[in-house]
Amino acid sequence: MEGSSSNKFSLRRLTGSVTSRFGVTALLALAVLAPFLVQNDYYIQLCTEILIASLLAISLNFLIGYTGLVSLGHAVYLGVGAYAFALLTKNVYPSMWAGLIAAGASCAILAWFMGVFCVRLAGLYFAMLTLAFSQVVYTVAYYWRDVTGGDDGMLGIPKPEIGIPGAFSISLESFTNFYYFVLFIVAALIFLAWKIANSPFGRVLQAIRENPERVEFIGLPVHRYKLYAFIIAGTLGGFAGGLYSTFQGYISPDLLYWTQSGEIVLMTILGGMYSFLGPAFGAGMLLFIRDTVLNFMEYWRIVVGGILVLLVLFLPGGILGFFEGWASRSSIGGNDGDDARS
Amino acid sequence: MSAFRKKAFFAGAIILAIGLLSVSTSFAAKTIKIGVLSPLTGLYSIVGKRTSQGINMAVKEINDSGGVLGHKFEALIRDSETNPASSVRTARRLILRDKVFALLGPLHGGAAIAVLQESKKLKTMNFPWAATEEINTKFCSRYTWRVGSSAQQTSRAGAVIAHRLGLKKWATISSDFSYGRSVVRQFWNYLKERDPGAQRPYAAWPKLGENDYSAYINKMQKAKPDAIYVGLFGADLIKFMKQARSFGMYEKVKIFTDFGGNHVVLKALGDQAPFGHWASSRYLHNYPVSAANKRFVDNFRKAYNVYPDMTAGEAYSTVHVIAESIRRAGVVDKEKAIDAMGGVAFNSPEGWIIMRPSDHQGWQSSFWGVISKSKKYPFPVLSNIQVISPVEGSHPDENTGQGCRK
Repeated sequence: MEGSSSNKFSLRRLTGSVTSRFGVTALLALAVLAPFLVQNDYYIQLCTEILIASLLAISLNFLIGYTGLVSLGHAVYLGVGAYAFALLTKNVYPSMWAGLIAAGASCAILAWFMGVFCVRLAGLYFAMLTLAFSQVVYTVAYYWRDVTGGDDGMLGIPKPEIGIPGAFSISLESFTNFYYFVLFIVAALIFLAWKIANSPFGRVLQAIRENPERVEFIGLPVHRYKLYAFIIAGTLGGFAGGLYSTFQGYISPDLLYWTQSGEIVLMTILGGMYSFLGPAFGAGMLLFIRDTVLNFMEYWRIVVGGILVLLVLFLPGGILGFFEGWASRSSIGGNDGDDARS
Repeated sequence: MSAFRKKAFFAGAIILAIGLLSVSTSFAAKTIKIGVLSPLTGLYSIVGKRTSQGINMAVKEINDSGGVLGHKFEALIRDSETNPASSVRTARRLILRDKVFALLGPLHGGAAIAVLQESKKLKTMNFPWAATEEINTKFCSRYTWRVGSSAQQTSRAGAVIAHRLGLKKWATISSDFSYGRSVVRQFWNYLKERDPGAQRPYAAWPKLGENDYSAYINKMQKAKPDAIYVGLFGADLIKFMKQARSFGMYEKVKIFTDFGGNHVVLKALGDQAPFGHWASSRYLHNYPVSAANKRFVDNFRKAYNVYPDMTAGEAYSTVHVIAESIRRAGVVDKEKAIDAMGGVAFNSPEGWIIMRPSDHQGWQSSFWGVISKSKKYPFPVLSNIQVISPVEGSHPDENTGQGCRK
């Protein structure tokens, strides 16, 4: 594979160390046991938020890490998904599943529409257009006061109970129940994302990232593949938005603002964008740092910024990316000739 | 290999740093923790520091006098970032993890309404700084109380003054969010009630945090009003006043500013303040000339070497009102303190504040005055102060507070 020998970070590392079968099982077990380990409603909430943020960061990584498209407007899916969930469950029909499907579907349509324009551009122009689109949606949410509540946002978004009508139902008002519900949804979606990323389709995306011209010459429709990646990223982001909406019970246009997009990019880079679970790790770290530092001072962004500078200088593959690389280098034989590099 | 070691070292250092930060501190057993959401960063940071100072001073006074029922007060002051999402998150952390007795703040109207729903769900009393009147009406609950004036009281008092001066043709400008809308709605409806002939050819709703008001000022000038009512708050008000001055608005119309009498605003504007125009403040360091106010201002200056502003005064009073409710209840209990809250009276620096049981609003007078230069102070102050009684400035009892018993 001469083509990938110039590739500094191979996605084959997905199969190594932390993301190995053992690693994933351990992670899942930790997630299932988390409410018993933390024993405090606040930390159960924090874990819930981390799960949602993980899904969001992994969805963005479909664009950044896999396809090589740096989007600066990913918050648009968080926001639109959140508003779709809120509008449907508050005004039309209070159903958790309907709300989540509305969140995902509305973002799929939005991503398709935005993608048609965006995927024809590359690099900075792509980033700028995604930013512009997200700011347009932000402005609409801000000024369309009758529907979105403007800057005051929307309040009292329900946590509808789940179950089969007439047979059984589970209330999600308790912090623990809600955590497990989110864990179920997020784990299922992340598994789906992993399947897609490791399918032949996912391989094509990585090829596009490495060398779009060559993929074009092979005869594959690069734009269409990019569009599909864009729609997958948007839809997953929309589900994260729907979950966030019901989790917080309150949303405001801040969710759509470009700084929110920046935060998602930050999570991705922090954890490692060339590792499948890296962004999820970054999301967890970012929220954990914010929570910890906020107890001492209000300038938590300085700490995150400082860590980011150190990372870019010393661990350019992100934190999880570094550990995975380390594990694959130190294992005898390595994989894919990874050890031959560096 | 050495490069690898370096990398490993840095990774280790980062993990160690995070570990050290997460070591939690322990608290003394007999404390009553007060969680405070204060806008330390963002658009309202201009008043965030004074809020914290007011809180700390009240806590110190209570503890120096032996605490309440043998318990010391402790304030956990956290940043609300003038942002609803982080306000809600921080509120949850204070209630669920730090187990605070009461939650104070935030200041942003939308954030306050979001937080009060959260505190209702988690059964903790909440005193928003925000003045939007929906807090006492639509969104009121057993757990929601407010010691500071509501927009209703201040803006209606402004309408009383406006009516007295016989100003007929108005333009209004206020930020497009809960509090901003509330301020102008209360002013305008009350003025219309008193003077049906009043007209308003132009109402501007810039977004919160707007930086350029020239388009609004242009339209305002075209409408040729006799007076303008400005409901902007925090840094927005300062930006607007400076721009209005450069357009010559100070000479052309009478200006009423709901928040403009606040000490930090007048100090920031300095020589560019709209002298001769009307402004209000929910607390004034130079009025009333009472023993309670003098003692508060003197102690505040001694402790922080600055004058207390509106938010400092309100924050100070709020902590004392909570202490008073616990004394009345006779036991340190969240629910019993709420039962005892209605009817609590506190001789605050701004005069007596009585917690009204029906709508959970602190009854107090409102102050409007004319912005003037002062010989005594090196910054503008309000003079010719008009005291509007709470009866004149508030709704009658039966119209409000339907939701507060929930």
